[in-house]
Amino acid sequence: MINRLSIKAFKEPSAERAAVQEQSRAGSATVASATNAVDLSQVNLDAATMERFFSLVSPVQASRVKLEAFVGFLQDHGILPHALRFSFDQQARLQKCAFIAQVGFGLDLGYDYHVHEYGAFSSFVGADFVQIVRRGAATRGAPMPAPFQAKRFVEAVAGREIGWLCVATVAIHEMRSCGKAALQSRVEATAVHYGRRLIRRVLDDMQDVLACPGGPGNTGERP
Amino acid sequence: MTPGVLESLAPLNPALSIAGSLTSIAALGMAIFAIQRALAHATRMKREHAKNAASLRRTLDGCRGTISRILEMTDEVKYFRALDALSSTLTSTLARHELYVQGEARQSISDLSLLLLDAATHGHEESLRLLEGALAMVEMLLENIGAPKSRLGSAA
Repeated sequence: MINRLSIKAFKEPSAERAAVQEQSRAGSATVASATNAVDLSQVNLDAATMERFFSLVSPVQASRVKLEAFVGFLQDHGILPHALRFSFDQQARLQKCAFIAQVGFGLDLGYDYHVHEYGAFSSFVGADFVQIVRRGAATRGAPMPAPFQAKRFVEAVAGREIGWLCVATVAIHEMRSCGKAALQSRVEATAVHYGRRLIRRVLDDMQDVLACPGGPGNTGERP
Repeated sequence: MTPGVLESLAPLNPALSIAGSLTSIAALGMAIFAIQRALAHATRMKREHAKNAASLRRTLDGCRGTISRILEMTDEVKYFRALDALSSTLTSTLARHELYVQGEARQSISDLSLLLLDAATHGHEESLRLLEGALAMVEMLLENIGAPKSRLGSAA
């Protein structure tokens, strides 16, 4: 069955989403984002496609990727194992990868992060990962939106140890506020538990990312 | 050396050898005493580490129970009061015993403190989600408790 969709602003995303899904089953629907009002009246989508659309993006913002889809993406590329559990390794790997993908490679996950001496951490990423593990709800094979430089991201983080990822998050955080010359000393001052040699290696490994147009080194925020 | 000096010391040989032997015996005794002290210290440290690791385990066990009880609270005022108390008491205790969480899992101590802080500063619904995350973090920390490696071991 083909339905016509029109996307307008929602105030109560979850309630509205349920209403939209109900409407879509009935034959017509209104889908929305809290921040962007997009008119998709010319787009024809069937109910199954719309279900899939809602399962992949957050109801708050259409371009936002849900953590379930990102976890599935990491599993697809061997960065997280197929059998999910809330272990230190999996949790820390997800935390660091989510930060690197969001801040460094343009993936809109919509999380806020703390950056401390062990790198980036988001309480909500941790809490959402607990729910994903409990429900076994990782979404495999979900496409990532265009702004996300998925290939470069996978090349940068695949096969890295946790220490490397921790230092990389600090480096990405610091490179938004300082130049290349001061970067190493800034990272050393924050990531105090990691050796100078590892920090040097991370910064060397990230040279390509730093040089990449649109990469974290070229955000225009650096002096 | 002036010729004849060694010959003139020859009569002192027995006395010098006796003095040398006594010095060697004294040095050996001191070495044995030092080894004994080192072994006693190592035993004491091992006991101390075991005690501290057990203390951290008890703290985290208690924390798990407390979080479970807080999660069941329906009164928001009581909920946040209990959460504040837990957050303020647990953070310093955890920081003191950070050494007893093995390897890189140690960083979860900082993460747990941040989780509790965020749980205490968000609305009730979000706070519940975060507190469930904190509970999982506590369980994960319990899996990673152990005595710290000795410097000798890590140098090897």
